Amino acid sequence: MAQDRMEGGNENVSRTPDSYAGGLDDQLLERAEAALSKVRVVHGANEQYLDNLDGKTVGSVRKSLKEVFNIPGDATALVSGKEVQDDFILDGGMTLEFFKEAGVKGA
Amino acid sequence: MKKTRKIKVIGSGGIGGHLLEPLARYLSYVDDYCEVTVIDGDSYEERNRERQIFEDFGNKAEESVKLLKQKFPKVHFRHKSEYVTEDNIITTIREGDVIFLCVDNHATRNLVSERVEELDEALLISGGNDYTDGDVIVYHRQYGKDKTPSLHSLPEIANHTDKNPGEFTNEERQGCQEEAQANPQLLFMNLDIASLMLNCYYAYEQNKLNFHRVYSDILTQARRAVRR
Repeated sequence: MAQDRMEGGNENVSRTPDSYAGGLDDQLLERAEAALSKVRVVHGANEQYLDNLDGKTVGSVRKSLKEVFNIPGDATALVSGKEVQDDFILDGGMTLEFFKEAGVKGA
Repeated sequence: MKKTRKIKVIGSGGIGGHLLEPLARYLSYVDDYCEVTVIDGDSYEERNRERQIFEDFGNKAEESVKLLKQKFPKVHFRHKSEYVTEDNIITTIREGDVIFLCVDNHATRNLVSERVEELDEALLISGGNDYTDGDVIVYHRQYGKDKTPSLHSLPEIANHTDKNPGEFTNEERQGCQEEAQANPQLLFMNLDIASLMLNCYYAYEQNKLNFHRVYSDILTQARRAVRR
């Protein structure tokens, strides 16, 4: 009876160890591939993994995310921690950070 | 046995003024001996009313402590009516202190961070903001070592171009007031940073301080912690 309830309650869940492991591997692979095709863009508190930035320049990303990410026009751009110019071309898997200095005010 | 908490709040203006009351309320209900010292050389003026909490004009540290003592008698408050400078930093910041740094210049952040670097045990939580965004930096020293990077590791703080207000001439003080009027601050941003600083303190108390910087942007409602 207890077994019936258990099986009945898990109709949509495959419990076969092999298929479970295989499914997880596939999911992880898909996620890894998806992450590699995206560019991580950061400015202060704002951070997003964005598709379709392959081949785009830093300058074009700065322009298109200026409002959404509150990026000042003169913010230094860093890719993998190194300063780059606005004509730098982005590739999937990169992290583009617009440097945000520590806030000064507060008194 | 009761633990002793020694807390220094440097700056009782936009951020510090909003941080003090919830901090004191929290400390009133912990079973420890709590000593809070408020340090500020500045005075409340009419133009501060739009963002800051005070009843009477006068020195910010003294006025804040006057109000807090009435509301939270269990907490032991002290005030120092002076700016933190090279002359008083050693006697102001001591071993085992938790420091909430709520100032408006990198010169003081640099000075306090350098002092904390000399200590074996200390926690420095520094908040700063622009108009609608800001950040909190946590510098933790334990067993004589850096658990998180010092504020000095940030070039804008290490190579600051501003001046400690304790070293201002009268002319510079006037210029600073004009600058403050030209570049106003938003009450909600001060409040947000004060709240973030308290959250960092709580995470430290719970041994869950696994980040050293938190950014906040109130227009996008985004927050990001930088993990260590």
